[in-house]
Amino acid sequence: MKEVKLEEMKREYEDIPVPEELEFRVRASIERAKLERKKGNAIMTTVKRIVISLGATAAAFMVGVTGLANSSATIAHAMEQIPVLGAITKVVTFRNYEDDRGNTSAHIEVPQIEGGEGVSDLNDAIKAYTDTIIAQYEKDAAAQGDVGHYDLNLTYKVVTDNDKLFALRFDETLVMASGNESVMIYNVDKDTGKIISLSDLFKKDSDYIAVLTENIQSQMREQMAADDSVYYWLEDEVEAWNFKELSKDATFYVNENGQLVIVFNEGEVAPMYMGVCEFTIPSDVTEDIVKSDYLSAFTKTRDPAVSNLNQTIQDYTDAIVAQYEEDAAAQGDEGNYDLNLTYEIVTDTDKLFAIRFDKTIVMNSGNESVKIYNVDKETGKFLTLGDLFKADSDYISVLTANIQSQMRDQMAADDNVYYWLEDEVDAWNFKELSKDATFFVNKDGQLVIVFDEGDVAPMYMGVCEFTIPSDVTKDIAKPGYLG
Amino acid sequence: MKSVKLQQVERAVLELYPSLYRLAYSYVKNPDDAMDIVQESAYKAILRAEEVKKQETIKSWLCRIVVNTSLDTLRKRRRETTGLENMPDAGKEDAYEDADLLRALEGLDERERTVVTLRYFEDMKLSEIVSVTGENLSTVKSILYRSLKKLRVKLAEGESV
Repeated sequence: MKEVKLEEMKREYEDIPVPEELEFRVRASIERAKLERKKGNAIMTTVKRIVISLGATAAAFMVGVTGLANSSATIAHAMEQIPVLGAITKVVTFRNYEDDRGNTSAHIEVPQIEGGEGVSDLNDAIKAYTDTIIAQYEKDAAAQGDVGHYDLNLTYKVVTDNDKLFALRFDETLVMASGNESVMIYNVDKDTGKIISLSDLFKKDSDYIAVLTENIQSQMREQMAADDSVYYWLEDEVEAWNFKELSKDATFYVNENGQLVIVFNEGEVAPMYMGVCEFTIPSDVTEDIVKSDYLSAFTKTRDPAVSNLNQTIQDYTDAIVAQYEEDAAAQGDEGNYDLNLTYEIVTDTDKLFAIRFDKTIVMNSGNESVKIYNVDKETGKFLTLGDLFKADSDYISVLTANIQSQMRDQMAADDNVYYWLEDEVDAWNFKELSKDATFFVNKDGQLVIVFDEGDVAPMYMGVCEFTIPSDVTKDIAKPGYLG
Repeated sequence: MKSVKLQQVERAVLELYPSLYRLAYSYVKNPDDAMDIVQESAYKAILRAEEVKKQETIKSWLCRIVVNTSLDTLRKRRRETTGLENMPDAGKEDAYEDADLLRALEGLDERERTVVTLRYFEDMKLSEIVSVTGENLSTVKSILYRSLKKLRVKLAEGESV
């Protein structure tokens, strides 16, 4: 064989002519694949927030929504601030509502507050409300039929809450969504427990539809006059889209001033860029036609204790939000996830209780990944794994060795279990725990290491958790955090 | 709207398909088979766009699909070819007779050819080659050294493996 120069070979390689028809063929394949994706079922997850203020206790928990959608994924917005459980609530436990009927499913975790007096009344109230919501979900899911736009899934945990440590766990899963933001609000009459519609708010003989429609139309005109970028389908040339009459099934809630707020989904009364549109109806417009008591201001005055509590909660979560934003910026172009927390109790008067679901667009890489923020309650600082261990200890080797032996044990015990430990693709094998490993401390004071899907095992293994026995860590751990 | 991964993968496929074609061609040595491989790889890539792992570039992920698909094609060919025609590539037409120098690659086995092609013709980093082939770094390096020896290739001054 002759001696050859690599550059010359490279030039020959680059000279290999690419047939002209290839571009067309490639584009066709791409379109075919996209079509195939749309047909398949995809899972959507949105993480939501619930804030309940009932009596003297504020409780907050996150709601995750999973759904099946027949369309491609879309991108989410940045995270909003969320209040989170604070010191006043002890470990919060959940009960589960599970439902699976093929293309819709629900997994609802109902929070219960532990500790303290008056808590059982509170829990009863929570249960009554969520039962009503579950019932409504079942009605909606049945009505959805094959379209399968959403599955309701509530997944949130405070995973550590001892004297020294507070840890908040976010479980993210694959997200595909319809691409629309839509709002669903359940209004519950607190006396009867029934879910009410717009017409239930108004006197029988009143022409509330006309009254509300007219008010909304005039608000639309004013907004468009005041701001060029605002546009409603009111006097558009496409007659069919114009907002001519409010629907009896309109989405609404009562705000804390006792005013009726009508909510339109994206694309209902305006182009998509306008987003979800809300119109607050002034009280003088409704006062003559409304049934007594429904449109009243929130009568529960917030305890000073509760607002202090909320402030503490806010401080904790501000720190967590800031950390999230740092992480998200570090993600860069990968854009693995956008966390969107959008859920609130919007009405809470003597007579009315309303929970608002904001269904928003969340995109994910297709992996389930877990993000856990560990906060030292004394210093308010975020903790990494190394912070739990003594400075001179070789905690990485100790933890790695223990995890590897747990992997071996599991694989020996069960053929279905497989870890990349002694795989022929050596690059993937788990050789050393990363200093940035995700972790939390469980209620027994043991360290739990959490690996994302695809980190230490094939994807089908899902998220993998390893609990490190206390005797493994006791000599090298800093006092106070573990055990 | 599409997922970000999907958009990135689609953009990468449309930008890189000529490279992917040449890569496939270096295995199968004819345009029709190479085009089929690229088409099939594009299809697979879009379908499974979310599978690009955190620790690899989209380009190396695409190349991995192309390499695997190309090797599958070669294996299929070998099964179909019986008797006298033992040389897997000899049975098919090589339309580009000018590729004298590239013929030197035929002295290498599949792994060696892959590594040389990705390194010197596609200018991939060693870490990317690790992603594409699933071999570890030291294996990739020794394959490279071995291949260069077999080719009796002289590296230009200052160039490293």
